[in-house]
Amino acid sequence: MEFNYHFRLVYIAAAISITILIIFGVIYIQKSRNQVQYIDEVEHTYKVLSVIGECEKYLVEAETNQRGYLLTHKDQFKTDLESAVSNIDSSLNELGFLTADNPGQKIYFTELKKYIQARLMVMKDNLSLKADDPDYYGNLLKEIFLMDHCKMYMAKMQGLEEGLLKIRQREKNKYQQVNLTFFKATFITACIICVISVGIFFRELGMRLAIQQKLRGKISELSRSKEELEQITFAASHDLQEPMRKVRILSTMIVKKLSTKLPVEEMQVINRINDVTEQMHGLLNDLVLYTNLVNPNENYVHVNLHDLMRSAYHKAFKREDIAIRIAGKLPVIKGSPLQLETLFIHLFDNASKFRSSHRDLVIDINYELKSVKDSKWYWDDQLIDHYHEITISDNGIGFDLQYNEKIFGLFQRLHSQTAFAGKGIGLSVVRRVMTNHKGYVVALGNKNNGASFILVFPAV
Amino acid sequence: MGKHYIVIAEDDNDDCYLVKTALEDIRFEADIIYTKNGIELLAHLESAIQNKTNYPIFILLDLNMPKMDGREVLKRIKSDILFKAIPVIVFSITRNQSEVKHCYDLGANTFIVKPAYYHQLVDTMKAICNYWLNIAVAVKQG
Repeated sequence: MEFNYHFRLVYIAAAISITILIIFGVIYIQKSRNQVQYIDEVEHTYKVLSVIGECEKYLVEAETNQRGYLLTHKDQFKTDLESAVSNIDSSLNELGFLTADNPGQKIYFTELKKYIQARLMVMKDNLSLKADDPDYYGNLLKEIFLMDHCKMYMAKMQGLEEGLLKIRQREKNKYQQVNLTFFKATFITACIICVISVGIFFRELGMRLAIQQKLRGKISELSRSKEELEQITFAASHDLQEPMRKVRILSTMIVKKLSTKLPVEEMQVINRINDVTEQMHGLLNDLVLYTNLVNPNENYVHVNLHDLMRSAYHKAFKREDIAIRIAGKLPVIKGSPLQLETLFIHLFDNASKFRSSHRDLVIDINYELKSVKDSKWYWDDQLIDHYHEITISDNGIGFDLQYNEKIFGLFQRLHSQTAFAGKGIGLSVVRRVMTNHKGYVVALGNKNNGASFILVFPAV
Repeated sequence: MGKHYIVIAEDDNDDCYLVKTALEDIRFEADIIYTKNGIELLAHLESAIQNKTNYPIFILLDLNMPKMDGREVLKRIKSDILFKAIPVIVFSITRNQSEVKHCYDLGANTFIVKPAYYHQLVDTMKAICNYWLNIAVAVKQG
């Protein structure tokens, strides 16, 4: 109903917020990864640039030392030169490693390496030459040429790297910016959804609590009125019996003492009073019978319905020989033997009372164990698979199907008082006994064509 | 030796009146002593011992009475060595089986349901009086 609808909204809102959060989370992780990647790349570029710078520095250092040696022939310059050369080697290695993933840089690097190595070769050559060597001048020219090329390639590499740096820096900044905005958006969205869900939830909770409160009130009201009703019925049935008995005994006393002395008319009035008190006494007795069934404090035992039905048959029909046809043996159930026997007696009495004057009374009893699955009865969430269905049919005068509920009412009668004896309690008792046994009774009938009573008991 | 008499323990005036009328109708000649509750009944029995008068022929005992009800007084009479021989006839409105059994268990000599018709009351009284006066042999108090 409305409640379920609102609560479904809460579930949907929660599901949506969780989904959105997951999606946002995935995107966020991806973006962060991109950002980290760009940060790494920027760092990489800086590193390449610094290694190139180092390389250049060492190269210049090597040259300076070479010149110094050539001019002074001091061994100090030679050792410094050698350390510079080894530094150049390690820097070149690092540079080669760093630029391995960039095809453009790789080409430049190969060239650069070639020229640097050539330059270093020349440098080594120079060290062994004297200033007046004929190669000396040529080497000088070669030196300049090689150095220029080294510088050119370094510049090229730097240029390329700087270009990359610009791009990467821009990307990095962009992602940083985007990530911040994205985080804010995610947070705000999640917050809004949360607030809405919690809002709906609390509204529903409040409504539920209010209704619960109302229900609690109603329950206490109901149990109060139930208690009062029970007191009233108890009073009506038990406390009224005593005065009733006294009225009867006193009025019969008058009849006995004055029957010969009173005029006929007065005598008739007294007799009428007697009849009415008699009737009232019967009603009260039935009421007691019925109220005793409403809250029976009986222990339920295993009862053989077949035997019970048999003994009820004898009690109901006395010595009369009524044809009874039984299909299937009635089951053993858990219940009150006294109540269940009363139930059968009332049903047989009913059949006996409303028999047809045109034909002999025949009673049919059918029993079947049926599955709850395809049952048309409502089984109050009891954990049962099967139920007993007992049908008791007669060929009596039947009744109009429109009265199939009315006949179970307390003191309800379909026939005038004089046509058929009885005060109209029998079928109420039948229904009450069935209710006490968590079962049902349903009446089916056709006017002048017999009546059927279907009793269903849960098969525990 | 004193006179024959019976004791009726009944708080309800109508019932007393009806029993009295019925006893008159059957020309019952012994005395009738009326007590309104269990305490009065016990007090009467005590005084009977002290005055060395006869015990009643029988006690007609209603179950629902104020102060001390019929069940309690029945229990006391039947557990008292001096009183337990006195016939007690429970005269009740209920035919509830557990009540009937309880009373017999306590030692009631007869259990009768109050009749609903005057002629039945007369018949019942006649039968009881005839039985305890003429048929049953009573214990004589010496």
